[in-house]
Amino acid sequence: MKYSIHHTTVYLYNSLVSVCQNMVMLTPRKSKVLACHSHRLNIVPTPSFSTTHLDAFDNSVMTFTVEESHSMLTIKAISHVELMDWKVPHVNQCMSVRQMQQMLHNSNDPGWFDAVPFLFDSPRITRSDEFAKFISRVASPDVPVLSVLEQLASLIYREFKYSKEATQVDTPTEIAFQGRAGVCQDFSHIAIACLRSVGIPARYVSGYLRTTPAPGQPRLVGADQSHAWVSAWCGGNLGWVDFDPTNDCFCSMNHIPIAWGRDYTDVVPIRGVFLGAGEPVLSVSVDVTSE
Amino acid sequence: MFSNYRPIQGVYDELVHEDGTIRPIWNDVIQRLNAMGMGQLLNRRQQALAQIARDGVSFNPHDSEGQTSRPWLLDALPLVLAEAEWKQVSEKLTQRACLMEAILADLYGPQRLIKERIIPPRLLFGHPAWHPAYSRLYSSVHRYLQYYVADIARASDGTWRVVGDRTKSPFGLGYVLENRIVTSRMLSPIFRKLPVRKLAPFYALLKDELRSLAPRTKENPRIVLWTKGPLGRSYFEDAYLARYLGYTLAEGGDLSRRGGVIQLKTLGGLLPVEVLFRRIDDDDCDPVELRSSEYGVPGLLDVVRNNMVAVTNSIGSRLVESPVFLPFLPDICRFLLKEDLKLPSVRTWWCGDEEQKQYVINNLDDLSVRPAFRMLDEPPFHPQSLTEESRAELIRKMNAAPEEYVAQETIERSTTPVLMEGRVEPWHLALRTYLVSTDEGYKTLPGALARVSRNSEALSYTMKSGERSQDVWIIAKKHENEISLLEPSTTQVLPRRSGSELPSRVADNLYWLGRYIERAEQIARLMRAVFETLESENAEETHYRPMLRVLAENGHIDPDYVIPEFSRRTPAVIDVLPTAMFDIQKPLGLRTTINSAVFNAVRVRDRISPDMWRTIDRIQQTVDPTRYDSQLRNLDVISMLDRLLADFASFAGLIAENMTRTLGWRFLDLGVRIERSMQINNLVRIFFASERNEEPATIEAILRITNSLMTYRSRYLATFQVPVVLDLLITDVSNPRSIAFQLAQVTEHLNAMPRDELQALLTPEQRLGLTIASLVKLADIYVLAEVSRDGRRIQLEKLAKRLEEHLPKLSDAVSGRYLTHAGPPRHFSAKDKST
Repeated sequence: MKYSIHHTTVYLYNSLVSVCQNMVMLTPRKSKVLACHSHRLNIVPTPSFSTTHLDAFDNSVMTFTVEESHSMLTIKAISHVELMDWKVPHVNQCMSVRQMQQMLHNSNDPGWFDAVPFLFDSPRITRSDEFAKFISRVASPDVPVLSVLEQLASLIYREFKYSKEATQVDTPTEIAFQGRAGVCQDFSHIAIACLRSVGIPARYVSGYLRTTPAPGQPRLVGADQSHAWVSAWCGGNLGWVDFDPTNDCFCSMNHIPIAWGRDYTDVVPIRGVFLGAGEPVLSVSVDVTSE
Repeated sequence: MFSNYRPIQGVYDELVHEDGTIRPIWNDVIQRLNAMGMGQLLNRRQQALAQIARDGVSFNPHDSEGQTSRPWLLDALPLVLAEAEWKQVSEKLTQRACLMEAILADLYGPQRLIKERIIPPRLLFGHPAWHPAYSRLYSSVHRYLQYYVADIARASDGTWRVVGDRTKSPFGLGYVLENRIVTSRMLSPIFRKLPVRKLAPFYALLKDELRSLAPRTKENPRIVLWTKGPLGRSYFEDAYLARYLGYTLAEGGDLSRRGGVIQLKTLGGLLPVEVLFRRIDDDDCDPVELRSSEYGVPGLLDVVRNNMVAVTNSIGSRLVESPVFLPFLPDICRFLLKEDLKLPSVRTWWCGDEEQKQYVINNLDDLSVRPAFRMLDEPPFHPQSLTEESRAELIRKMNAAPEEYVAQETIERSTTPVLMEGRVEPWHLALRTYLVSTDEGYKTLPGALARVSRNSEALSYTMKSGERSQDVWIIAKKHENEISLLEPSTTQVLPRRSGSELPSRVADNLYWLGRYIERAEQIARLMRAVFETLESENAEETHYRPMLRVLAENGHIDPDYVIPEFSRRTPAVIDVLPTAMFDIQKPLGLRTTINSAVFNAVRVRDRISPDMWRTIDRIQQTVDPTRYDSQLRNLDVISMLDRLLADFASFAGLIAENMTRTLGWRFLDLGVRIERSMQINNLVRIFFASERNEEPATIEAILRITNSLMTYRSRYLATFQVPVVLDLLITDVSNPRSIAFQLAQVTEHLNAMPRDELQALLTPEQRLGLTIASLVKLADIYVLAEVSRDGRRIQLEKLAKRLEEHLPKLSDAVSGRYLTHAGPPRHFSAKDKST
């Protein structure tokens, strides 16, 4: 399936900004499921300096500096990607939670080194007994990891309220967990915290959903902005499996990944520091259409 | 002196063997100390301590924790070690430095240590000091550690152990130097006779190494010492080192990324910086990619990645400081360096390993427990000294999160002699050693920072009161040649006159130092005049009422005092003033103003001379009420103010006679001049504009406050007339206390400020300066002195008002162009939320 993605971000300042330094992660990441045919970033005013590098997890990162006075910054990312079929593996091939824990302790699994960076605490995620207790409702030692993911997604979907007002972008994961409400970012963080708390490596994926659903399908939640979901390690045979706790599903042709990391802080789409007064007004539009 | 020295049983002593005989390397020192005698030694120590105090070493009034900036008292005795022994220690330390370097290169590179299971992945990926941005910052050929610091201790068997590795920044290097300077002076007759290894060559190597890091310019690259600023704990040392090494001291706000490089914001414009000698934490370096921090430089990491600036030690170096690496070091060393670890660490167990955890819990009372990953200077737990309850709590925590804890053996550190009043005692010893990278590998400083304490355990974390520090003498076989840091280098340096390399922030602090010092002097003069008048035998209310109005307008006293009907009900002015002077709640009060001056002085302490510093120190001490433990009422205010004014005079003298005429001086003096114009204008307005006030006593008072009485008397003897007084205070360009004189100086300064060479027009501040100067020049003193029917001097009032409006505008214009930054950097990612 081919998609074209238009992601426009506008910052309006209430006074002139003389300099801003930025870092953006908007380039769709090549993977088994995704080929990026073209990608370009239009930035106004034109940056005086920009470079691209790969981060520690091989995501593509672009940094730029605007050194002319401006009162508005526009970042437009236009990408054309092709999505292969996400193959949701069969549960019979999957190891159990107990096997996973043992494997990570002493194994020669070729994927092991890929998985261990996502096993520990990260800036937004602290493993705890509370998360372990929550996931234990669906993750007894002999259950296949894949079933754990499926049930965890629906557990979160059933017991948490989707609410844009309940949390902010920097609300701690524990608060969203206690409040049983939030958006995709919170649900993904919670799912990751649960998985890591029982020793299953899990990473945070930022990406998009197609805006208008395929004929005969319902419109997915979170389709008008950037989206986030979870990728969990299921062991050597299956590797990483992506699932979306916000929509209670395994990822499908509707999910277009951009970048992944330990949590939101590793894959913030746009971040920056500017010199100037006041809080900027932000507007974002995302449009994902199938070609 | 040493005859009663009794080392502790079972502890290694640096001075004596177990049988009580003196170790040969100390013989010379002991003989000479004995020849000097206890009396003279104590005397010399007293002088040395006074010198440290005078140097302002213990002086950091804005330390938020109320601590002095010098954490340790300097002991009179040095620690003596033989060069032969030191050589062995150095060799082992060198291996350890190479090991730390190799670990960082591996963990930020191929990560073989993890892939080959030498260390668990948790040590990197679960390390709070790790950040993904640190990977791929540097090319594969990169040296992470330009310096390495090891804390070592000597165990009872006489061998040295490493207690801690320090890889972020060489803290203490400034104190080492200062200890040497003070001790060598204190014990000069002894120090000069002995072949003690010199420290200066090490600092020269450090300078060479930092110079060699410059990515672009090889000749004379610009290097700055990047400090947290006055609120950081190491600020004193930062300023001290910057001065000694000849680097500009820069805070994050002084640096900025422009055009793909890091620039120092100076009055002369932006100047490219090649090397940042950092004293700030890894994760504070760049608020764009790392955490939000006021100390950082937005966009720095990107510049580092493009190899346009060097930061040392490399960003990310702090990782290996954690004690969690210690149990793995022998294996890591064999794996990475293919040799055995030569200098062992103090024995350490990581509870993340089940077996080690069991050992720890079974032997808890013989161990100390500390966080495995955190590297704060917090004391370790000593389970044997905990209550039953907290001990159980600790075990519970260790079982719940075993990976978070390490336990270490407690070692009884060696002892060395410390000078107490009239005797010598054995205290436990901690050494901090320093290594610098050179073309020929790491070189060790022939010396160290020694800390001594009665309590061995107290030395296992840094800051602790009641400790002392000692100079360390590494004694060679024979004297070496002198090397000074100022030794001519191979490239010839051209004489320079400019001082345009002045960070804008420094100019700002100098300007406000000038303003506050002048304001404080005016307050002191006014107070003294008030007291002199009130205490004189013919004090009449009308004579001092204008002075009370000045006091009231500036909030020194209650406004009721100037309303005759109310003033009788208030306590006598003379009783409330002393308290008011010391009251830091009064924003324009004497002490508040002096504190503001000191605040600015602290931030430029690498720029002002030790003499100026001492003067400021004395001024602040004089208004410190805790020094007058008896009632403030009984304070002899006039003599206190006399002392203060003498110090203000000497400060002004130092500015005039001892500061080179760089831009720094201009900003300081500009502050003084603008403030003084404001103050005189204020006085003239209150004394003469709204009231007649022609009594000789009143006129004498204003002349006294403005320090112009002598001039007046020599010109006009005892006749007091308002027009000539106005001339002397406003229009007389020959009186350094007149407004006209100040404005002439201001104009000169403004003309000398750096500006765009192509711009032929006057700058806005030059225009404002000229406007004000001509207002004053064109003033006719007889017109100004005319009194209207209602007893006011309308023209004088008008002039005063216009000056009152224009002078602050001038100050703002100068700040706007040269001094103020655009405010703190702000983040804007916070609102962008994925849904």
